[in-house]
Amino acid sequence: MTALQNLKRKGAILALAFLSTTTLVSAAEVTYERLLKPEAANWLTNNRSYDGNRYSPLDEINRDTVKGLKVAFTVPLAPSSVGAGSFTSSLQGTPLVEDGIMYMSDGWGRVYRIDMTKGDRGFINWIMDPQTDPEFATGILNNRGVALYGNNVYSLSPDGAFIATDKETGEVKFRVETQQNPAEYFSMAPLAIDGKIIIGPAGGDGPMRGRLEARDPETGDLIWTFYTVPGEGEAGHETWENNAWETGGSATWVTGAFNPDRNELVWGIGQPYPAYSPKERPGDNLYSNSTVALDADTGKLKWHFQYTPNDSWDFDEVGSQQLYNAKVNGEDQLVLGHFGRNGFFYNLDGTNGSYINGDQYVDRVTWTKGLDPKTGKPLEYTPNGGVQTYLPETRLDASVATAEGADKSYCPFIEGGVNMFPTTYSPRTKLVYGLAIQGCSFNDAVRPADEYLTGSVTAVDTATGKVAKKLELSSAPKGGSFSTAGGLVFGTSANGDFYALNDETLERVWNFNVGTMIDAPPMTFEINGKQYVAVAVGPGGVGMNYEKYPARAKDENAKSMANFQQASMLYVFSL
Amino acid sequence: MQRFAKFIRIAALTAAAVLTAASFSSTSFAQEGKATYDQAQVDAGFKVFRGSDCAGCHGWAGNGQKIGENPDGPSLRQIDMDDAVLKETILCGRPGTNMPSHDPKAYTDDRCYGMDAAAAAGQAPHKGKPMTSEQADDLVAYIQTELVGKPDKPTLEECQKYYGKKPVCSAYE
Repeated sequence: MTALQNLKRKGAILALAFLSTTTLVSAAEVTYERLLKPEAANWLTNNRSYDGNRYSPLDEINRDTVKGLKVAFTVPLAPSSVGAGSFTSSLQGTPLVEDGIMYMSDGWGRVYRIDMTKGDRGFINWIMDPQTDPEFATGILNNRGVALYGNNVYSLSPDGAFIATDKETGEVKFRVETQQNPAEYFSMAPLAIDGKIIIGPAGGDGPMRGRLEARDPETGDLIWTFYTVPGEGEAGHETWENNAWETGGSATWVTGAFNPDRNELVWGIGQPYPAYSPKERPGDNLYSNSTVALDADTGKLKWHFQYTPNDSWDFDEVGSQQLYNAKVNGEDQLVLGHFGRNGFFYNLDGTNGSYINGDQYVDRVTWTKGLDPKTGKPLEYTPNGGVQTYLPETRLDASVATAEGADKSYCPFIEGGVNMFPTTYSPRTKLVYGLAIQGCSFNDAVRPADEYLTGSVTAVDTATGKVAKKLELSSAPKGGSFSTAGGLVFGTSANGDFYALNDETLERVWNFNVGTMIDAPPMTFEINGKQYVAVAVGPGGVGMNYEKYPARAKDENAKSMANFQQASMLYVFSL
Repeated sequence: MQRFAKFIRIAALTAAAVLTAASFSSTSFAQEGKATYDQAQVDAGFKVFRGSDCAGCHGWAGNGQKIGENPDGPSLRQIDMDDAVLKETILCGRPGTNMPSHDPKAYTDDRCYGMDAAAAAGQAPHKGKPMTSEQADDLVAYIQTELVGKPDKPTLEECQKYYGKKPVCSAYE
């Protein structure tokens, strides 16, 4: 080979190197294929994987090493503030991480790109602020995160703008208004699937009609709409007597799961409106308080299961929808697991929604005597429409917070059970873990002094649907959870504890207290071979002022916890 | 003793129905207490209403149709309160309920129902957005003029006044 030939070859190699660099950039697009099989180091979609399980294969932080877990760095985000509602904006989102870059949102729907590639600090590269007018921010200022797809970050503003932002530059590529009614506000983390972004409104505590929408990732254009309250001529419409369907609520404010094999979106739906007046909407009120499975191409309903028909206690079932395989009666089966806000855990057939098994997982349930072992419906349920009675002494005609409802109380507490705070499944243990609030709902004026809001981390055996283990907590576990191949389950609590548990014994093997309530789910990722754990600390929403979770804890420090302050801080931990 | 008596009165009032709570001001007072306001003050009050934290619980239309998980606020269209009581409620909140105080100095001295921090212990309302006495006067003017006595179902015009050109008022067409 001559020197010239050699040089030419080197040049070709150099050119190739350039080409492959270019290829690398486009390879870093978040494709559907990557979302189907997320890299171990990354957390690319709200629940980490489409099955909704929030399980990470990372194991550098494990039962042996976790004692050395320390704060690596922190990043303050914009301070919290009040909109036109009564609550301070909070951090309730799950951050996404791709190759050391974090994308997360705050309560105002601002999106942050945080470069963590140095491993010991986070730089905010840009903030995309949707500039929501505080006067229009009439809902709760929670935002549960963003979606990555292609080279964009997708997010919702509090007043319903669907926004695509260039993930490198922070430039807004499009903004489409989706709010249809002043009662709607928006807090869901969008879900990206193949060629579609799925979104929907919150606000089902007001007179709106819930829906899910599929939108075009390039333009934001509407592809299909699924109304969670069926319209005239649609199946289920008859379950809303008195024309209550027009404002039937049943909002969608939490990201659902996706089953790529069946091309099905599996989504949890909120409570009917008006929440505490079942007599105003006789009938089962489909698809409130249900899990629905939709054809992802058309948005058409394929199957559903309703947990609490004709609800009167605000038992939204928007929380985690988890798809896993379990050995049911000796046979491997696709199962949809869900911690009901109504106090029961459910294993449903993951292909048709029929009830398999379940268990009461909170200490006290007073609205029903239990579930029918065949149908999974409450024992008192009558399938002929009309107004259900359940256990009448707990049945509401008005919110217990008002004078008309003050003579009633019920368990579990209004937020559950498990609310939208994400639960996790570990394929290591075949257990599914839920952060459960333990307590009951009373009018404040008549609440007994010894009634607290405590909690538990409850582990359910996915084969039997029965509670296998329980760790008692002194305060309500707001925030969320994830599990790892390191044999750990991470969780959070209203007393400010961020903790790691042994995934078999639930023994607390690590704890860090942030000095105020945690509202956001933690998550994990890896940069240059090193594992990190992150959680956003920004209490707000209904927790601090209204329900006063920290102050109502059964904790010797509860009185001081009543003085918890707002915060807006991202914590990142490593060994 | 007097303070204690006031405390009891407030406690009794707050235990009463939120929706009917407004009825504690007598009709005669309400008649005497209501004034006619100049439009500039009503407009200023509308800005205070939108810029404060009223809409979450009382609804953007002030009709008690709260938004989202906010606490249930009564319809301001159905209240019958004289200006002084309405102003004190705005600035001091309602002890033992979710109606927040908006005077930053509420319960630091006896300005609110004669209750200082010790008297209000355990039932002081949480702090809403800070508001001056003048802003509270403007807000009273807005509520008394534009809300009180109006039907609970808002009109398209009212929606457009609040939301401007935002495409959300079709629900009222």
